[in-house]
Amino acid sequence: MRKFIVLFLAAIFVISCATGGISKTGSDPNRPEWTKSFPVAEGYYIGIGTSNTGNESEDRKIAEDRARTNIAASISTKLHSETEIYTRDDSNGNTYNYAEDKITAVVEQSLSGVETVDTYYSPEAGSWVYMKLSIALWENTQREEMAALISRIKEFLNPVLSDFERPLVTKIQELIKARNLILESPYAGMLKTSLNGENGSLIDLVESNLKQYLDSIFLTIDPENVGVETGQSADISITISSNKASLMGNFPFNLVSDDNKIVVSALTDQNGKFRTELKSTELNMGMNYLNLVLDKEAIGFDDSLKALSFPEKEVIVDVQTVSIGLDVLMPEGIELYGAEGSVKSLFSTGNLPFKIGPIDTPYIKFDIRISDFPKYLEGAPDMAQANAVISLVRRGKTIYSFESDQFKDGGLTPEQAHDRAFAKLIKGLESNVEYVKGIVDALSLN
Amino acid sequence: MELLNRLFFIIIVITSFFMLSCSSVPVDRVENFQNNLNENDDIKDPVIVNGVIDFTDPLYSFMWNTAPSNGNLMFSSFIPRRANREEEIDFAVAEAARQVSMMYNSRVNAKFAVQSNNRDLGVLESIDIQYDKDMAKALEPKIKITKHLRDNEGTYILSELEGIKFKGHFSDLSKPGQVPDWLINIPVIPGYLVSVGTVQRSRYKIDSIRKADEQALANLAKQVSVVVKAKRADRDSEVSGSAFSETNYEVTSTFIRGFYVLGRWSTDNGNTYYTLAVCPESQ
Repeated sequence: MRKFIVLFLAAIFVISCATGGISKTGSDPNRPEWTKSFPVAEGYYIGIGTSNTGNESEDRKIAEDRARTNIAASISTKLHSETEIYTRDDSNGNTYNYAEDKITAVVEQSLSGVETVDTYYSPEAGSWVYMKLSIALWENTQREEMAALISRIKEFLNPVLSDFERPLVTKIQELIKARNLILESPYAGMLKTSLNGENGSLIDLVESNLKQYLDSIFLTIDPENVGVETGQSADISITISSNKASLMGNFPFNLVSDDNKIVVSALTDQNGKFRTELKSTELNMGMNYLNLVLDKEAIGFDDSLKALSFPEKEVIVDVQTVSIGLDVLMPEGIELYGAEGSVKSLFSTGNLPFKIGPIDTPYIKFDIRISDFPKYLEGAPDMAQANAVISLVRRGKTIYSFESDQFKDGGLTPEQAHDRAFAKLIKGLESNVEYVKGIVDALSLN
Repeated sequence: MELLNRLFFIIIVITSFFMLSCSSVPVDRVENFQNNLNENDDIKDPVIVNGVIDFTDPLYSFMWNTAPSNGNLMFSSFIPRRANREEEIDFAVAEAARQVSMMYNSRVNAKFAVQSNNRDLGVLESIDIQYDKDMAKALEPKIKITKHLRDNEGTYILSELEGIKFKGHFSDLSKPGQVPDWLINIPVIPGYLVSVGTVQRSRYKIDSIRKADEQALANLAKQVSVVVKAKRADRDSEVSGSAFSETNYEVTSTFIRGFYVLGRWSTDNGNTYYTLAVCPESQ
């Protein structure tokens, strides 16, 4: 039953393409016969289009368009049918099911040689256009277009594929170009020819060659496993090779971290080689699993080629924390209980790229400065302000220095004011990572 | 006071005269008009017609007929009135040269879309035609004016292209003053693609004619190569009934060589313009 409905609606589609709706008929004696009954012409696709909006010039164009669409629909139409069942409740709580059928018809053709056989216009009936396309001409045009397409594709593909000296990336890009040309044409599965010594469907041959070239690619990373201290760089070499070409060409590639961040995006040299220094600052602390992948988009691959498998290679970079000393300098004449411990814990919390060890070189010099405010009023609280100068010292030289903001606070006694201002300073530094970045950057300087 | 009255009277007379000359009065055929028309072979000075010319009139319908005559390719130009009326002839020659350049080679990009559903219908069209503008400029001296008319609305010329002879022949497709048969029956001309362009009038005659010409050219391009896309969805629901939506889309992008206008026409009320054009079958 459903098949019958589909066929019935499809027939309505073709008829509606032909007529563009029912135009009013008149009793015009000059009205041609083909406007009354659909004409038959052996060996021709026939298209009749009508339009009756009341605007003669627009009607003519619409009728022509519909006549051409009708011819295109006669050649081939893709039909898609679906039925959806809906449920509805009424106010009495009764539930009903009802169905909705949807038929979609899609026509897409490239036409040439469509002739206008006749036209008719009357204010009552609107504009009518009768067009035809010779089936023999259509088939011949198709053959010619297919031959021209095959010839064009082979013209640029054969010299590239048969030359071992041509870069592999060029071979791949030309195959992708050929594939796109085939798929954009209306003859995707109909082109038969020979390519690279094999016979068959051109699209299959192109895709098979593409797969072979991709499978032939071999990725190498040296070293595959490398450790690097915070602030230092890891020196790695990348090589892309294949037995299908003597030259690789400039292959675009990416090094992608396991959290999908692109760490390196570059092109190899003509021989498929690339050397880089991976900075530890661009990686996470600990083990980094980086994936070497070809940059598909830059090569020219689109989503339709996702199914193809692409070579990948993993490199592990272990970013290790560096041991660094800490020297806390207390303000002269002021005692701050537990200050050294607070500073040490400041550099021990969070995911810092270094850890506190014995004072050696390099080391962090943490100079605490506290000053009292003059007391003008008797009985008013004592006020103090604290700040710190954080420096990185290597081989006796300060290579980085950071001065914090001033933090003020008060207390019932000067000691209490000092403690409270210092506590504020430590809290302020906990939320400021600027000096940590400065220290890490300075550590990477040799 | 008397002087003021006289001045007022003169202003009224001049204004009335000006308004009468601008209005669309019936064409006042000047004496021996046909003779003037035939004698002015290398025309610089126009034959001036009072009022507005009706080109469907047998006396002037030769302007619509541009089928080659005695092996000469004919081009007609219709230029709207300008402040300086002497400039109109230069624009008319430039327009004829533009048609010649388009005949040599034109790039046509045309799109046409119709969207409709149970209630509404919408049409969208764009036609873009490119031709060699330098060539058109260079051809201007080769345009030989054979007929030159001027009325209250503009200047009209019929011209030939010097140095080019057309060896083919088109049978008479238009008879003077009669509604041409090609409006209804598109002629079959062996070796040529034939098309008719139809448009609604624009403000100026030249725009209407240009659009009809462009429509004819786009139709020829669609005969050479066109991509037709159409999508129709029919919904049939037990509850809400039937509905459909349909989109038709045509796009063409091609070169047309040898585009030539054989004839033009407009309806009596001047609301619809037609152009009959051809190009060689082998493109």
